[in-house]
Amino acid sequence: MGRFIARRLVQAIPTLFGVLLLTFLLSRLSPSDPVKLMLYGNTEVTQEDRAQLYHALGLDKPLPVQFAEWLWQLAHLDFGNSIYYHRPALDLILERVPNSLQLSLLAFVFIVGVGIPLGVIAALRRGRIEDHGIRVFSVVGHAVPEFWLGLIFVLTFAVQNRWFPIGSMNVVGTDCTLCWDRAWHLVGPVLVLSIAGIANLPRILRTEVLEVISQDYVRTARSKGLSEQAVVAVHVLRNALIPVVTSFGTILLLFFSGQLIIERVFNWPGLGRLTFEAAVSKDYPVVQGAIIIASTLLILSYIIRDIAYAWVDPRIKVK
Amino acid sequence: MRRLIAIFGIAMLVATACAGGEPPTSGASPTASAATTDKPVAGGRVVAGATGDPKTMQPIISTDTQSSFVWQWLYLGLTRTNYKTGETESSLAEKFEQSKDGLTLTYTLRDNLQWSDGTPFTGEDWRYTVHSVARSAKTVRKSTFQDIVGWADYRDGKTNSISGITVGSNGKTIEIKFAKVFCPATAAMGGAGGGILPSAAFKKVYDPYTTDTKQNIDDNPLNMNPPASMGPFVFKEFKPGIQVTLGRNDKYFRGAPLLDEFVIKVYADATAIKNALVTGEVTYGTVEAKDYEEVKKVDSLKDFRYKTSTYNYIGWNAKAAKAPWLANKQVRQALWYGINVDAIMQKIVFGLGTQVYAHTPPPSWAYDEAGLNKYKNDVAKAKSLLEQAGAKMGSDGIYRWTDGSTMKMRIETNQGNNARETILQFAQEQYKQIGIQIDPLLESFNALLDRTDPGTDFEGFIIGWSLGADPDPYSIWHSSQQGKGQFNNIGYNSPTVDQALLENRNGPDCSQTARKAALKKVDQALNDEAPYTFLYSADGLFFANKQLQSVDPSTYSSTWNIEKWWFKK
Repeated sequence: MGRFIARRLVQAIPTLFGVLLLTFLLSRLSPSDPVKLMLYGNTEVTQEDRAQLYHALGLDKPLPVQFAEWLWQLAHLDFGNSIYYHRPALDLILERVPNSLQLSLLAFVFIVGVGIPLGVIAALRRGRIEDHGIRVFSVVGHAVPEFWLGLIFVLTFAVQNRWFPIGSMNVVGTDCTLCWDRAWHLVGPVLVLSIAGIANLPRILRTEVLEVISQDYVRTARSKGLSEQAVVAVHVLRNALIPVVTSFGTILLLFFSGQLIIERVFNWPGLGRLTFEAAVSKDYPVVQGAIIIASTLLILSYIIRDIAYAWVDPRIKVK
Repeated sequence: MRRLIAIFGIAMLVATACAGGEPPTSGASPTASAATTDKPVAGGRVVAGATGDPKTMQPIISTDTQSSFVWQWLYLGLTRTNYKTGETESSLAEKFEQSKDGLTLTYTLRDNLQWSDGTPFTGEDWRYTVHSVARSAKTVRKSTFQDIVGWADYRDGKTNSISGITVGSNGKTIEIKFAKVFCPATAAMGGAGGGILPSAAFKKVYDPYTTDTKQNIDDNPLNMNPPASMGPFVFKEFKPGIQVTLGRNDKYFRGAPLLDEFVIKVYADATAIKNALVTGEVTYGTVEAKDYEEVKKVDSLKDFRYKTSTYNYIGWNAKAAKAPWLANKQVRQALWYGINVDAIMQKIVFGLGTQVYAHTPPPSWAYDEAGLNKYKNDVAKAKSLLEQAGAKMGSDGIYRWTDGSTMKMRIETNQGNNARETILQFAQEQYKQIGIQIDPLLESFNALLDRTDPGTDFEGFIIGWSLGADPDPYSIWHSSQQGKGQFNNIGYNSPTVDQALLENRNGPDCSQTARKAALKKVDQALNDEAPYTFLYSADGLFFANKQLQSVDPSTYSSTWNIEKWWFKK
């Protein structure tokens, strides 16, 4: 197992380097630059002031030099200073991570807690109204863009009906994490962030449950006189969950991409919103740092998924 | 539905291992329990919306509006802009005087000024701030002070102080000597290029009285943790991505504010702030014209309207290689006659704005529209001007230029800006009627900035200006301002305008009358030569909670008297 993890970590290095290079090139070669954006409309700025700012931010150096310097910084775990905030990019990123994790973890729990039962119900009630209903939900849930759903939620339940706040984490004057106020603010973003995941799970699980349920060992379990619940929970579900574990990687991807939009729609002060704002304003160190951290987490999650895969199905040996 | 929502709410609560806290309440409501009365009562919290975190709370290195929205409450200038007229008026300085030759400026401070921490405010604080600007590597405010005698020597480390600045022995007077006349100096020096820093606190992290030019104020912890304030509020707390909380400054020289707290809450964009205004989460704010009627229906809000020093325009690149006709004055005039600005204003701002005919915006003290051509929409006149310029109508209904090329050109603007997108649609339709074909291009704001940089080959573009209170359009219209990143990107070049711009900026007569006369020459030339098709200036549409009293917003400030704001219950 140790060798497997070590091998996967080594394999991750070229992938990460590719991500670093692509992130660097995409951010530098796309139109405009941070100084132009920062100074747009500031008619009092002279050419000397402008040149000095490019120099102070290191943006007057050739791109290969900037890339090499950035890699050297990264090797020392230094992500550089944010161009706009004049603070270490890593500090900015780390102060947002807990907020994003709150959303992701709750959405994950919600996806698993709702998606798995829906998948099982769809399979067990195959061809009946429940099955059709869940299938329609799956297709619709998958097709509807998250940002649209988020905007509709905000307009309907926050602006028009005032059942929920229009965004953020707490009401002004309230500062708590474990309280009604935070739960109230979490409903919208968690619900919208979960929809795609909840829609995805029953589709995979239904097929798997139907396949497993016709296996000989399930018939044997039933013939032993086990209750239907026990047969489903112990014999069917455990085997049917194997491809579901694989799909968790996809769910993580959905989180990373979804949070960029959802955190903005719901004004949630997480890593997604920070990355979005940094990308728009071309705050290179922050964008690069956020993407490296997201990519690293994603690669690690794939390794964990492979280990979990072996744990769920002992027939698969980690080689 | 409600039950489902309730169940989901409970699930969230369990998931966050709920352990207490109060049920949510509105953030913008007053906290004081005042009886219904017209007599001002203390207490309450105002919540304002911002579209992002402050990047810094230190004015010298600040370049964004979110940052200035915070530090403006803490660090003041010697002078301020009158909220209605835009003229310079006293603030921390009781009086200010420019010598007859325009080369010496003297400020006299008010008596007994104190920072919020009890330290006396003196001219040394102003000098400290200017020194810090000179040595900063990240500031873009150096040009403000470049004409002070001894500035360059100090900036380059040859001296440890700027020789042209003298602070009186009692710290109450500041005398500044200039190498050349700079008419906007009173406001520019008074504002200290932002706000004045508390030197006693900042000296502990950076002392500028040195010749070591490598030291500067750019990166120090006080930039995000303001230690003292001269403004109506003091810094209390910053929660990244959420809000900045300010508390009352009891030592504020205009009197302690009645409000307890001022909170700047961060929202994703202007639409989210408008939503927060509607739900009552935000106490006051401005809205776009498209939302005006909707917000006006909200019972809990009262509305205000005022002129703004902004305008939208279509800029024409006189050096466009693919549209050589743009160098011709008659063609540009035809483009102005060919567009119905009234219709555009009705469509975009529903008439809540003012048509503009030149650069100086309507609320400015220098505004004078007498004698300016109003360019009333006239298709026949536009066609006639095109023909006078040498264009000939083609069989397809599009004019051919003198070199035989079809008069087809691109107009571009940034995607996502509804007003500019609508102007582009109008331009495309209406210019076709005068025989000019438009190729519209919507692109990202970043791409638009790149594509319309001076020296780039572009034709027409739609954008707007948001101008400061002092009318000094030198950097927009002077022929020297055509380098990369500068603002005369259309290649405008007029010796008459250049001369008038210098008169307005460098005198020698800096009186308001003389400057107004110089700016009149600029406006008349721009109106006649039509380098832009000047469109309109949208009104400021301001809403505030009805309970909030003494609110009196206008063009140059909506919060100038915030110390008097109070909540009526």
